[in-house]
Amino acid sequence: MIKIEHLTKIYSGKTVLNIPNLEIEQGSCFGLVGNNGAGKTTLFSLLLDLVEPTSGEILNQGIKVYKDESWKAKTSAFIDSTFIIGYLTPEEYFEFIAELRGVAKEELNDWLENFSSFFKDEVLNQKKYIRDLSKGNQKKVGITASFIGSPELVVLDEPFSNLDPSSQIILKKLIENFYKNQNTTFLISSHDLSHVTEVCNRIVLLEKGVVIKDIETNKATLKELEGYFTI
Amino acid sequence: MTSKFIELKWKKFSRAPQFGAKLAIKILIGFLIVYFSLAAVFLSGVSFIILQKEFPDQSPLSIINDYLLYYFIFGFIFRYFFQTLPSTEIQQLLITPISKKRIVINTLLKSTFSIYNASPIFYFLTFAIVFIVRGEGNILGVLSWWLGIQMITLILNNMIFLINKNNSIFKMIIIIAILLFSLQKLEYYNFFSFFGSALDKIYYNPIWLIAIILIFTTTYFLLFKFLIKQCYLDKALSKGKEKIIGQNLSFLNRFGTLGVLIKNDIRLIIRNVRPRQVVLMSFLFLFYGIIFFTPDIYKEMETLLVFAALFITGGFMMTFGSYVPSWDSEYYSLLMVQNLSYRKYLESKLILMIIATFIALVLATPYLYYGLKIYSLVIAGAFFNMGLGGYITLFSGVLNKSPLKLNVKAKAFENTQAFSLTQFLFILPKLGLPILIYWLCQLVFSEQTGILLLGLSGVLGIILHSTIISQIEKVYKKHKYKTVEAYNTNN
Repeated sequence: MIKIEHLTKIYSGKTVLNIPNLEIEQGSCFGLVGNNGAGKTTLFSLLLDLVEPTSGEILNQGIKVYKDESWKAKTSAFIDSTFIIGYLTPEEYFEFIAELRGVAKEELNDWLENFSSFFKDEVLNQKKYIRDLSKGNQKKVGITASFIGSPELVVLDEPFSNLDPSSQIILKKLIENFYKNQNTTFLISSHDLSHVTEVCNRIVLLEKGVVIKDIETNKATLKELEGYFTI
Repeated sequence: MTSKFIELKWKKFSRAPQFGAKLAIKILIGFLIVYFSLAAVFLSGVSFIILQKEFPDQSPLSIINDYLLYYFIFGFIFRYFFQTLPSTEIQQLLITPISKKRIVINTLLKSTFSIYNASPIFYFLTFAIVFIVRGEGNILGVLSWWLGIQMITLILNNMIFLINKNNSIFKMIIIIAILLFSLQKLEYYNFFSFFGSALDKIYYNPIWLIAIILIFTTTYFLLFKFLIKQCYLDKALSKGKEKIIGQNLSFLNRFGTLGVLIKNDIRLIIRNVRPRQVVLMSFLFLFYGIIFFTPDIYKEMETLLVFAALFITGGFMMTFGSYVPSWDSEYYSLLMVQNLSYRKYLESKLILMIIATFIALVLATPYLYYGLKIYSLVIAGAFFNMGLGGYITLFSGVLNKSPLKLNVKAKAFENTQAFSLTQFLFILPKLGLPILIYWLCQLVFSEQTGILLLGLSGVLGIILHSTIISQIEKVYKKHKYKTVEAYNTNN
């Protein structure tokens, strides 16, 4: 699915990312952990062709991301608030994304019912622009939009932060559902070790732009990670 | 305490990103302000002398007084659209150990010294000085007259904040103004000259000044009370509930991806303060022709007429268009990741500009009044704008690397965010090229050929669409990473 080769990113002389080789398989749920400044968001931005690599290549289903735009049809993402259009209502925003991904309106409305417990009557039919929703609800809108149109790859940066505990649990179930039933590949970064070990079947630990650990998740993973982060 | 506020203000300015560029712009604006103030001073002196010459049997003061209400009404409308309460600054100070009273007084003081209140000093004070120097009438009278105008200006200043964001009060005031205006036109009741003669009274009897000062103190006091009460996050500092507008645009879906993008742009324009402001301004461009087509002196200067013709239909392109793609800066990353090619994105902006130009052309039909020649010039200008102007605008847009806050009012004289000096260079082809085409053609052939070829140059652009847009797309792609980075840095 994703193939990274000799990827580096250098900002004014400082190497912020250096990944000689990394492959992510189709249908896996890939977790990325690391302290602030480890290079998680940089890696995602490079993958989405929002940042230019200093050297190396990223292939998304064999397509070089910065040469060809065709990977965009199968990939979607929610990184931060710059992925939200504040002056639309949530419904209009979902429609906008659906229209770009070729999903019909009726199909979208049926599909959105899967999210009713996630939205808790606070998102749909509120007659509010997204910019007037709370931060948590804005996040829910952004994450949900990234699931529209059965993408093969979904990239989520810190999806659990800013969400209330029950929403975090619902989101975990939603992600599991999508990647088990639809073979969607997920790339998730998180500071929440327990959530990420629960959801992901593979976890990579970054520090200062370098891969420190690459673990197939098992019962001992959470302990192992906690051990690493305890100073 | 006040020095602390000034220090904060200075830090906010000096530590902002792109400080250098901003400083340069501030200096430029400083020059402009000096220029305009000198112009105002000069004009005021000149107007006094002209008024005295033309109407020797009337006092220049009372002539000016008769028109002052118009000036105040226009000033009021202008303020309503541009002047804002610095609410974010209040918000930041609320939890500091500075008393609310102090914060409010400081805000009021700051608003008193804003540029909006400076015109009486430049224009009317000079007028008063010229008056005194020429030895007409009494000094005390003139000075109280000036002070009265200054006070009325400050009353307007306070009123703008008192009706803060309240559209219905604003509408009511506008309706009253229109009513008074029509009553005057119908020669039923002339409030404007009543207002003028009231101002005359101050000159003849400065005691009347006290009345104005009383009104001023009342508004000041009311505003103070009002602001103290409003210093809560859920009062004046809150955004309030917004009404949802522009929901029924799904008919645009018929036009595929382009329709979807244009639908979004229409919502962007009607739902955000900043673009709304800019588009309203672009509407004013329609009236450019009246200035140039009416006086006879311009009839001979044909290149100037081309210039005016371009402006009439090009308003949207020159205002809204110049900020493309900064309008989408708040969510640029989203668009870059979506299933959407750069080409489609650029084409949607182009079509939006073409539609707006076309609407302007339809609205410009009354220019037929000035004769077929002028009107054909307007049409030719519109063709150029649609066929070539749009591409030039898109091309210059690649330099737009300043993020733009959509739902924040622009301050007057600070309309320069997301506008770089290099962009000024693009005005050259946008206005210079068509004027050159016309000028050369009418020199070699005839005026008619000039007009025809100007229109045809636009058609040429449409024929070459695919080639031109590919070139523009290439440039945008090259700048993509820098643009994304610039838009993601919070301004």
